[in-house]
Amino acid sequence: MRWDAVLLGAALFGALAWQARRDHLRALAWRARLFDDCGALLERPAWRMDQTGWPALEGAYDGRPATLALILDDAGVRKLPALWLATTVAAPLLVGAAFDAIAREQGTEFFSPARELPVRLALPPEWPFHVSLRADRSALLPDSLVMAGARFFAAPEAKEIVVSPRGVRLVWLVGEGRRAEYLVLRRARFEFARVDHKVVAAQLAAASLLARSLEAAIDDAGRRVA
Amino acid sequence: MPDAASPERSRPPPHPAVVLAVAALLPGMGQVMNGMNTRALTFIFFMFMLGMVSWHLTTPEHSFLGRHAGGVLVYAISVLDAYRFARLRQAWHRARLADSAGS
Repeated sequence: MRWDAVLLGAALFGALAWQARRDHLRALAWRARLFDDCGALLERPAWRMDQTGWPALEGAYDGRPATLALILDDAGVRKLPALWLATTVAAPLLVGAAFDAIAREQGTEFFSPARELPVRLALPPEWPFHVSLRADRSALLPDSLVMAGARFFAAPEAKEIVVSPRGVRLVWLVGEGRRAEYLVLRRARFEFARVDHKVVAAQLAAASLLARSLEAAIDDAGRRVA
Repeated sequence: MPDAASPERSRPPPHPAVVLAVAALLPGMGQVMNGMNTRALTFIFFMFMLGMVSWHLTTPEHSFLGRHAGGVLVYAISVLDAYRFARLRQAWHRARLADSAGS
């Protein structure tokens, strides 16, 4: 047996394994620091690594429980990988149904509850045509959601609004993978070191405002009925 | 902390192993289990199309697998695709359940 060839092969394999581990640890360290600038935006912030392998930040915003989560979406065909920010504000809302509005639907949005919702609703005239609107039952879209959707979907980064009796979630694009690296290596690498805290603050404020306006609309409706 | 807007919470996605088994036995049905009906039809269409191409490029002397190699290739890709999406859906669902576990 050529022991020199075996040794050379083992050395090459070891070098590759060491490099792969180093890259993996670097990627984990990069992910772990993505929310470093956003801790001050939430009351009682608690950081954890999500089961998806991406960080999540929990806390309270404007007195309501809030969760920030990141979603790597590299499931689309002929699309650069996208990193979405999911901003969830929990509030008991007496909405008549669970609503999901998603922009430029590809059918590969594994994070979206859209496919669980059987009823397709007509789009409000204020909303752009690239939005798909669904609900779990036939229901009228609350006025505050119509107005919030028109503002939200005016931006190209807007992806999804989910409103259910448990609260509100907004999904927003925070970055796209580097083109060259994805085309050659199919690896999702991003240019930034931290998620922009201004973007996160704006999403938290928008989600909280929507939750508050839905609560207020429900209060008004309740008073009118009374 | 409750995960606010997740109607999917009450209906967990099918287990990836089940999706894998179904996708391996019934072409395209893994995608249907993942709720991606259009994707299932697209896969089936390309299975037939590439299967026909490889059928016409081979002779009766070739094996059954060889004659349908194009379709079998797309079939294999469809199984991997179904499993990948089932894993992604399960990971996202469990992560959102972890939000509610902290309440």
